[in-house]
Amino acid sequence: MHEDQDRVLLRRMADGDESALAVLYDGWCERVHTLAFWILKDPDEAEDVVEETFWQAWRTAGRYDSRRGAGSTWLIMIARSRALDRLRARRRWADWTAAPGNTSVLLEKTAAVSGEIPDAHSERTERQAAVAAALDGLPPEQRRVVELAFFGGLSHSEIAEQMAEPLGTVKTRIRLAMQKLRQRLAFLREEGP
Amino acid sequence: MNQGLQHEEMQDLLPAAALEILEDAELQGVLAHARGCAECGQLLEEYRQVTAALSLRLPEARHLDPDRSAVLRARLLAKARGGRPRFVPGSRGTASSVYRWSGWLVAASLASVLLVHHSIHQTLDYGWLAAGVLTFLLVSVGLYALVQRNRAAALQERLEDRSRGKGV
Repeated sequence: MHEDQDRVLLRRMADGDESALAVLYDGWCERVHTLAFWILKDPDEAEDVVEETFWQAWRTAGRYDSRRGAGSTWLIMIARSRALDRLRARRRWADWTAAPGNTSVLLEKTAAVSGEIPDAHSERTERQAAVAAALDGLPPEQRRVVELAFFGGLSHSEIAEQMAEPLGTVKTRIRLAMQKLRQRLAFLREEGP
Repeated sequence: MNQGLQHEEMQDLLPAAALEILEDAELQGVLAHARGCAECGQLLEEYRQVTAALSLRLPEARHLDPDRSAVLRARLLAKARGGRPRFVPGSRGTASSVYRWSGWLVAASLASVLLVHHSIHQTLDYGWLAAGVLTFLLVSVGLYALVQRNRAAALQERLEDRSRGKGV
């Protein structure tokens, strides 16, 4: 979905136009569900997060400031926060890191699947490829801390404990990794994720 | 603390703030600084875009079931159409007329109770009046309960919005 369209939809939602919510839902429900599912590993909870995300977007659309960033960024950050709230509340992170379905392992297994994404989503596919290249281009230890932070919502100290590394090292790795990603994904600032 | 040093320290924490992995007090400190510092505010937003973009790395390993999605969509739209009043600061919401009259309804109900009590003790044949008044009383109490429930829901939404407002 085009970024300008998201902005317009959020403005209409702020004015109380529920048809805009329907269009936003149709455009982003799969992406929100995918993110929630990968974080929670539970289809039912992922569906709950989808509902919570769009409901929160509806109720707080008036707070969205288009000057501060893309509408899609705002929506995805809501979804991630909702999913992580659930993850943290249930103290699942220990299971998450120990589970055989560990996200980084799954990402490696499914990396080859990207070619199966339909042509109709070619624009998104290009972005997916760019994000994958940026993430894969990080040193493994930096990529690992970003994945633990992004998917697991682990704090600095929790990541340090998980990786058996000094806290300062973890903080530095996260900072460096995010700085590199920001540089490599600069094109998203214009287009939104 | 030296302002320049604080600025640099805050800037170092912006990536973690965007990932929302800081302790709450630390996160609130960074967000407060970013609100007052244009450079850090812009950087924080860029790191948030990076964070959101990471979701693009995820393959759609499990699609949202179309039937379930249709149910979710319909439920959301039903709620948005007015199942629950949206909170608008400074306004009294869609149930304003109920709010306005609820106090009077309750007062009238109490007056009715006194009247019925009086009629019973005066041994007058006011049975029809008592039945009407009791019905009125029940309706009034029901409306009052509805108003209180709406108020509680609005307050709950405000609390949820406030707690969720950080970082998004």
